[in-house]
Amino acid sequence: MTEPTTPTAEVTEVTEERPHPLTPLVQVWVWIVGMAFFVGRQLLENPTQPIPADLARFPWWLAIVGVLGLVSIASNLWNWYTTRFVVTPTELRVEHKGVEHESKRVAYTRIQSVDVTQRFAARLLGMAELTIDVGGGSPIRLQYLSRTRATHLRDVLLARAHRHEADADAGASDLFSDTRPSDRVLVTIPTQELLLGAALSHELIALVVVTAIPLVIGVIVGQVLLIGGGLLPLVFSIGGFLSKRVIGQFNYTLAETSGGLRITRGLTSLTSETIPAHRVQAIRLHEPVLWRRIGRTRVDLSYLGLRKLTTDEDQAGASSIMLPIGSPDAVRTALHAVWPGLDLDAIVLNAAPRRARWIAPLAWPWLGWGVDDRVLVIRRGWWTRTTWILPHARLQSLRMSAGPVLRRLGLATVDAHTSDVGTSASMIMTDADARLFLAEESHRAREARGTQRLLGIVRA
Amino acid sequence: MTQTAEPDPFAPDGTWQGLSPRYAVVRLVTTAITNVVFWAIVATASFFMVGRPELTFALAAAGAIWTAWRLWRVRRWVNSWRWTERDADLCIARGLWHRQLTVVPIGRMQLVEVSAGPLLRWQGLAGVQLVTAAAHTNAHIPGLDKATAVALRDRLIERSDAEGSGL
Repeated sequence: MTEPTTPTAEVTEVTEERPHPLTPLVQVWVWIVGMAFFVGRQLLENPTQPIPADLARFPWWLAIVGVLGLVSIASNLWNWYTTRFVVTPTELRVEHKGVEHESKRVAYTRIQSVDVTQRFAARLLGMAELTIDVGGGSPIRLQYLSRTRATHLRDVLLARAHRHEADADAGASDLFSDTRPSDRVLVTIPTQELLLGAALSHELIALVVVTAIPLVIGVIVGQVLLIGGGLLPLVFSIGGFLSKRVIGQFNYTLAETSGGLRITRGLTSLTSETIPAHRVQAIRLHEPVLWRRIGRTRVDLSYLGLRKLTTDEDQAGASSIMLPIGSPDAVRTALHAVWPGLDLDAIVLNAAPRRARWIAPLAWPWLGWGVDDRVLVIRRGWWTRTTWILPHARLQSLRMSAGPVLRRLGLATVDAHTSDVGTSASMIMTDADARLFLAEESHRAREARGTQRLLGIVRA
Repeated sequence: MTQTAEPDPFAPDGTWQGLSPRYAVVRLVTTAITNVVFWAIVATASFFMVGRPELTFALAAAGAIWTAWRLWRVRRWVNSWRWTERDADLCIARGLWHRQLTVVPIGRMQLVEVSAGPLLRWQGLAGVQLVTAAAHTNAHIPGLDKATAVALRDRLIERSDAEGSGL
């Protein structure tokens, strides 16, 4: 491996690099841990004779697992040996010369976001995976680099995506975060806040209801065994859920860096996403019914290439979550990080017509939509109240539709489409309003696109 | 319904174009095939599983009525499609029961596909599919004359280059 001596020297000189040599081992770490466990137990039980004379004592499946593990180590080794990547002044090239030759080229201007993920085993060995999202198609993964190399490469890629040079002060980040002195930390979420959010989440309610069924039956029937058997899974699943949520979101940090917004999180596996703010296509605010009591909101954002990513709150890797739980202040800070000066409270929402109560009896008082000169705001939902914030300039298409019931009521649904992974934003209006809205909104979207083109904010 | 008194919001003013009348022929064939096959399977299965001829006859009759109604509606359904190119966007209106009006800004089109299966080719038709960055957009115009479809595609691509504003 040709590690450059100083970060800046590498900007001009073009060298081919391989991923870290320990990559094949990290990829099969589960197997290694399993084998070490078996061998270790064997040694403990029988220190003089690690391999028993009577080989038939080994379970037959252990041999299969062993062989499969060796085969996958060999194939991973071959993969590692045949993979090289090159950082040139104009593009990142990933060459794979195994049985099939493959060369992927990423033009820096096409980069949507770059993530550094350290899964558990990789983290123990100080290694990280780099995921480069280029919009359409599958993202490009580099497995694995040393952590400093990964973060430095991330900085270089993002800097070139923004057409300026990388900061020289690479690497000064500790074990649980990924921030530099030059970065501005906007929001961090304390662990108790995460616990509070998880305790009041719909997932926990569902979990309690499902696992409490045997308990309730046990109490009714008077079976002690059923009560005990129902209580244990209840305790375990709640504990598991809470710890998983807290471990996944541990030390959640939203920071503003020169490369874009950076989200860092995780206790066992550390995930660090960087999204240029001008790539954000839309923002969604989720307020589940219980969170509304304590004034908390989840913020999701969508950008191109999110198709493959998860909205799951517990997984490692890139997700669409911008803020897993936030007070109104934190939400405002997050919104301003993407669209400075946006005042959500100043946007007056038009209420839905009374007739819409037949369609959405609970959510009816919250239905609404409003516009200002930059964004379209749509709010709906009772169980989870969702507010979409869509910039006019990002609107992809509009649709009004009405089935027999809606038409009988003189109503129509209007959907505003962006490159969003979730459900599309929709609102209920009278059909005359809907028609008017379609005309006005497409005009607004066109104006906004024109302005952006003039300012050169959006690059083709 | 109130729509006779007021202008129908789903059938807007201006010059709108419909699909080719020959598309109704294609739809008649596909509707007939799918419905006949479906009801034949249902009726046969009921005969072998329940073994009561009167039930089978009832199902076959229901299937025949349903198929006839679907076939009768095909022409109206095809006629319900309307599309127009305006100065900055393409509008598509459709549907009898579930009515829709889709507006796609021309600057937002990522690619335009023209495609035709064997039945469409038999009638000299083609469908146009518009793809934007949003998965929900789903804007397509089925059953245009092949020349119209190709001309629409070329025009859209050309205008999309001029209007385009990236992402």
